[in-house]
Amino acid sequence: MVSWKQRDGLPPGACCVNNPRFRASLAGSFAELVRRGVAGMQYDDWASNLSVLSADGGCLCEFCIQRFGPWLKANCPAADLERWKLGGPAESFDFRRWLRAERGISSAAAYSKWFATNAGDPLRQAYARFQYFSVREGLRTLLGVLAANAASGRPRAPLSVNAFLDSTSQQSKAMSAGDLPDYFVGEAADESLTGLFLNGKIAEALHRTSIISPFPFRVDRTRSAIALQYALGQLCLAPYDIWMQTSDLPRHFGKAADYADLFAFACANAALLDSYETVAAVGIAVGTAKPEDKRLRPLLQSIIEANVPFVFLLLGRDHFEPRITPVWAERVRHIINLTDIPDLPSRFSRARFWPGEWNADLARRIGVLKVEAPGVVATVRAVPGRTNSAVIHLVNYNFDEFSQSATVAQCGVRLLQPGFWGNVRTAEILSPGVPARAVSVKSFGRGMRLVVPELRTWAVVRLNG
Amino acid sequence: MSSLRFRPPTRRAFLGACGSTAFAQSLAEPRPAIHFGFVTPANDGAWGGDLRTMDKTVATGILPAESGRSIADLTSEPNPRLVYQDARLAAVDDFSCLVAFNPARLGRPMIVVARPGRWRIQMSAAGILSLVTAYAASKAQSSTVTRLVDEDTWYRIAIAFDRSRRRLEFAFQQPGDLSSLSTGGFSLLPETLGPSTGSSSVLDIGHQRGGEPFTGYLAEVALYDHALPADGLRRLVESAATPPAAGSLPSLDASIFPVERDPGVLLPRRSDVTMSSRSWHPANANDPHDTMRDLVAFHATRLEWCASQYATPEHIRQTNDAGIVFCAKEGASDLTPGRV
Repeated sequence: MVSWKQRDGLPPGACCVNNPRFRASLAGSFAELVRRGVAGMQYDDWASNLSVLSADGGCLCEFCIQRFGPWLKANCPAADLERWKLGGPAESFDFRRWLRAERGISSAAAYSKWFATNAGDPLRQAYARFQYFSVREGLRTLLGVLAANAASGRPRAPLSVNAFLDSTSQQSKAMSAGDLPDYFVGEAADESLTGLFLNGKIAEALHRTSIISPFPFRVDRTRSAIALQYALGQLCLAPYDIWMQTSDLPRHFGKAADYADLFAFACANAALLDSYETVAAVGIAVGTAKPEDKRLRPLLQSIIEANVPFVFLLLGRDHFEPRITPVWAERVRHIINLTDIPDLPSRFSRARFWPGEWNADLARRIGVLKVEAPGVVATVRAVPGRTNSAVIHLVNYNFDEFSQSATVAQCGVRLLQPGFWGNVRTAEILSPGVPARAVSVKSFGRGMRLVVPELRTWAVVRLNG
Repeated sequence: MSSLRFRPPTRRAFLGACGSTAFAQSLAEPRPAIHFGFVTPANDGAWGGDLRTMDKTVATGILPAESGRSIADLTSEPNPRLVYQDARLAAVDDFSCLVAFNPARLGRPMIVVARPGRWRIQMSAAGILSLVTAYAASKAQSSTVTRLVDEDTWYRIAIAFDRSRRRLEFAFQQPGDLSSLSTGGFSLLPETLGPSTGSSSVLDIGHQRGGEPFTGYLAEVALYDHALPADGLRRLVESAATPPAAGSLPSLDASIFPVERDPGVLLPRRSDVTMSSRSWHPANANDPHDTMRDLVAFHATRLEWCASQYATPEHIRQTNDAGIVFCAKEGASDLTPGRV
């Protein structure tokens, strides 16, 4: 049968979370490190069993088999268990034996094939859910270890996991436990604008921070990714000691001189970053309990190109139910609905709902700013409870054929919908390596307009009423 | 079929401008017979009476007893039929009318306000705003006011029908945009001045029976039982501030979506500079890299992803002394099989 038993040795980069020796070892290591003084712990190979779920059908080690029966008993209706003909009490159910007796499976290859081609089999489904459950339970255990070892009266050390959230579906590995870690640190799987927004906005909707590690093949593109992460309220690892997608390549050590101006700017302007939250004109409702809607990425691309500020509303319950705070539910006035969940109008009573396709009517209603130059990404952030606190982040995504950044001169920014912006009179432009500069904000048609004299990689426009 | 909602304006200025202030300014002119600011279902003009809909299920809820609502939302499908009825209307011949409206969607003809069989204010599918006066049961004179009407934009139009001068005058403006003001008038066909082709006591608002309903928002409707002079019409359209956009977004301050952060956890700050150093450098005399030196060079405030075997008390101390948070990495790949 499946050869992955703990006594056979460990598969590379993964351990079964149901192995009590591994759990004890991991917990002991976490506790020791916290006592030693580390301020946070990353669980790198957190997905463990899920990493082999789609390819191999999960882990079938003796510890998983031991725990699966009791899990069935605790989590499945008795009628279902009866119907599934387990051949005995659920708590002592032996999945391997059942596979052999009921499905004629006697090898790892046969099991993998059966798992891949029998998605509707209820016990196959149950076993997959058990694997998800096991991984989530392992994360909860580690959170408990960190809490138990926090110094008296002090906040506990956070738990981060290696994840880049490139899907809204909880059936994806990264999202399956998105509610448990305190934040995410992971290599960027998709560094397109759509990919970076998707990851950052999912993390935001989970009330989490995402620190991404870009693959720094091109300095200027990486600089823009760093700036965009700050513009989204997220973070980016400095390109240092970076795994480059394959262990065949040496680790990458970027030059500090290539990036230090961006990071120095973030430090110097911490007051413009730390308390600032996303401003959004529209919520995109996505169902997390189903595979990702095919309309999502084209919609995202359009909405990003139009610089419409948005948030995700993660809806549905699969392995967990994402939390939508009362403030979010009350504030969202336009929702692009990519779900078939029926009770949304009652849940978001002040919102107007739109179908999942981008159109000019919708764009006009939710468009609050227009950047005249193409290839410039804008986000809006502000401090809750503080009037006249809005800032607009502008990130330059214009590159030449050598992936070098193309500076945008006289970058016009129009503030549409005066009722949204209020009375803005002046603005201050802050950019890495450039002295702050005040510019006027002038009436322009029904709205207002300001000009950023020069946009290299990143500018923060502070609006003054 | 609760298709009529009244949306809250987002600015107090709008309340004043479209409600009481506008009305107060118009008091410089004789008081209108009919005036709806959509704050209450009552006609607060001289005649009194209530706005009704022809759908009872909607009628009870068209103006909820909630303060601050002053826009009739007629964007849902199907639209309700808003009607004001008063026997005195049948006798009104000369008249003036003011409407503040916002066409949320174009693409089909729409009637904003109408006195069946007498006159109406309407828009074509392309957004051409025109006045229509009827002079026979099936004949009408249509006069274009403007071709500039756009979706999701507020406008105010005031018209006056003056029998003695055989004129229909108008003033039109996009609130907040002085340059959009246009005034003018049309000579009426003599037949229009003859006996009324209808004697209805009904004022249809946002529709006309048998015609295309208006899809958009209304902020004010007023009717005078006499023809105002041209400067009076102009004052009416100039008396409002810019209303909020239809289906409007709240202000920026009310559009902030704060993330909830657990105060009991030492979380990264949004201004943090994070850097990883999987192993500690220099590892040997030939290693060109230096974790501490490079943390400082990158302005790092947080060391992430440093493998647990390098999380020694000395490394943690060095990092903390530099004002940098030390976070370690642990996982299966860090735990040798022997340890497990």
